[in-house]
Amino acid sequence: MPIRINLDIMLARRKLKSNDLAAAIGITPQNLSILKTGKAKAIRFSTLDAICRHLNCQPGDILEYFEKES
Amino acid sequence: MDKAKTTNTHKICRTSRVFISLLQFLLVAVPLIDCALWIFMNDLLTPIQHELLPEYVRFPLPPRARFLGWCVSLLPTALFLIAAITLIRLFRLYEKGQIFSGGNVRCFYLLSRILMGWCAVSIIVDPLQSIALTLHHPQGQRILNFGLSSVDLTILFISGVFAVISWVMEEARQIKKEQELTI
Repeated sequence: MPIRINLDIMLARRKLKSNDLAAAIGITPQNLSILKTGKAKAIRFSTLDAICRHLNCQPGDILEYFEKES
Repeated sequence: MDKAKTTNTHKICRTSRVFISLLQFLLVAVPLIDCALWIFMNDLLTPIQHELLPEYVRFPLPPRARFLGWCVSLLPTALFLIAAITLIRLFRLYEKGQIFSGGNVRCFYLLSRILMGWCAVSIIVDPLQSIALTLHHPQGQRILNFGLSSVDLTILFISGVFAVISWVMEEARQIKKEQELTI
């Protein structure tokens, strides 16, 4: 998928653990793992809103578009 | 909404258990009754004999005719057993709360194929049974009977409906999978 999730980078910058973020935004660690590993098909605005609020960042800090090499 | 979903899930689970028990009973009862009917065919009351077998059959049936008749009846019985096993598998999935899984899709697909097979078997069984049950008749009075009834066409129609249901279930499975991967 040409959308990359840079959640790991933001978690490292904010010195937060995945489990803590998951608990803070109200999703399971398994679902957060699906998001981090790029297996997610879609993300709800409410989830994105909660992540950005908790990590104090912009959606563009977490979501990155890259051209797929043909 | 959650309460309604829980009630619905509970209803599906409870009803599925009832159907599983009924189908397990039929899995044993149907072959046994089939065997018993052929063994004691000559001892049944005349109206029942005419209800079970075509009117051209002459009683009493000799053992060879009854054996051949039983052999022919194994074809639809076998299909019924496969259908019952498939339905038990489907209802077990419902009992576990799996409504839109790959297993459910396969069950519906298999059921549509079984119904199509049932239609084909019905076409074969009639002539085979007429030969088996009139072999003991004097020469010139043996019968070869074949045909297609409205029941066979109805079963064919229902098999088409099940095929469409299996495609719809596959779509539902994919939608569910996407929903699971929506965070």
